[in-house]
Amino acid sequence: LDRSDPSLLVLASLAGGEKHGYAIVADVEEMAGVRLGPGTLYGALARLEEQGLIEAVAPEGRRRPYRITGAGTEVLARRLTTLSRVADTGLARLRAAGAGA
Amino acid sequence: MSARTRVGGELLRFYPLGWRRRYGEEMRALLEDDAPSVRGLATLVTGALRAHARPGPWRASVAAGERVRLSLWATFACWIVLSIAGASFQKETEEGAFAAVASSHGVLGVARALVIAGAVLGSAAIAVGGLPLLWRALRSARTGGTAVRLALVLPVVGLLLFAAVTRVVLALAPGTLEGASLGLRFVLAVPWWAAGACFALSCALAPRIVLLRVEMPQSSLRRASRAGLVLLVAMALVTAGLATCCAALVRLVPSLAAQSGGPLWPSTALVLAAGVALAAACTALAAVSATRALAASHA
Repeated sequence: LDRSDPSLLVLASLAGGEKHGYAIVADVEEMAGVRLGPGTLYGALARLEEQGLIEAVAPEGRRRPYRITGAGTEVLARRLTTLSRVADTGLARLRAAGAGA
Repeated sequence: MSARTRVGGELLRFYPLGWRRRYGEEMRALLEDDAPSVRGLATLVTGALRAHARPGPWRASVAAGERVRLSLWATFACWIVLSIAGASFQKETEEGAFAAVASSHGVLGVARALVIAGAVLGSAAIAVGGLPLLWRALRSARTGGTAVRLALVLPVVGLLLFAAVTRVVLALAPGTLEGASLGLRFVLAVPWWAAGACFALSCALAPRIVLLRVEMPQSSLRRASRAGLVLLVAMALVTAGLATCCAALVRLVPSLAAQSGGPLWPSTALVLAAGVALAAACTALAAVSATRALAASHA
C-alpha cells in the first residue's frame, strides 16, 4: 500500500467507520505511514463516490464525513485478499531463497 | 491561518466550478485543520488538472447555461494566451533578414501565411461570436453591478497601460535595440513584456466576470459556441504555421535560427520552439473547451 493507490487507502480507512477529510488523512498516516495531500485525498474521494464505493453523510459544519458502502466493502475485501495472497507468496519465496542461499 | 493554508485556498480556484461547489468547502476545512506541505500543495495543482480533464457527477451542479459560458470563456482565454505566442513570433520575424529568407524559401513564406491566416480567421470568429455578447454586456452595464462595470473597463485600462509603457520604451530607445547593451535591453524589455502580460490578463479575465454575471440570450451563446469551433481551427492554423516555421528555419537557415540578441538572449529557434509548445497546449485545451461549449449549448 503506497501513494500510488490512494483509493485503497481511503477505503481501508473508512472500513473502520465514517470519517471526514482530516480524520482520513490522520488515520491513513497512522495505518500506512503515508500522508495523503489534499488534492490526492479529494481526487480519491470523488472517484470512489462516483463508483458508489463510498457515500457522503450529513455534514458536521463545514466538514462532511464519508462512509463505505456495501459495494465498497466487497471491493475492499477482494483487493485486500489479493494483496494478502501476493504478500504471503512473496514472503514465502523470499524465505525459501534465504534458506537456499 | 498559515501561509500554506492561504496558498492552498487560492489553488482551489483552479478547480472547476462544479467541483468547488461540491468539495470546495470541505477542502478548505481540511486545509485549515492540516496546513499542507509543499508536496500537498502540488497535489492541489495536479488534482485541479485531473478534475478539468475528467469531469465527474459533481459537474451536474453547474447548469448547462453556466457550462456554455465557462467553456466559451476558456476557449477565448486560450486564444489570448496563444496570441502571446503569436506576438513572440511577430517580434522574432519582423526584421529584414527574416523577410529576405522567407522570400527565398517558400516553406517559410507558407508558414508565415498560415500564422497570418489563423490570426485573421480567429479575429473574425471573435467578432462574430463575441461582439453580440459584448454589446449585451455594455447594455447591461448600468444594472449589472460594479463587478461588470469594472470588467468592461479593465481591458481598456490594460491597453492604456501597455500603450503608455510602449511609448516610454520607444522614447528611451528610439529605433532598433541592435547594439544596445544587455542591461539596457532587460531594463526596457521587462516592463514592456510585463505591461503586455497585464493587458493580456485583463483581456482574459474580464470576459469571465461578464459572462458569469450578465444574462445572455441563448441564441447569442449558441452563435458564440459555433464561433468557438472556428476559433479552434484558427488556433490550429497558427500552431501549424509556428511549428512549420520553427522546423523549416532550423533545417534551411541554421545561421538565422541560431541568431540571438546577446549571450544571455535565447536564440530565434528557441523562442519559436517555446511559442510552438505554448500554442500547441492552448490549442489542445481550446479543443476540449470549444467542444464542451457546443455540446452544452445544445443540451
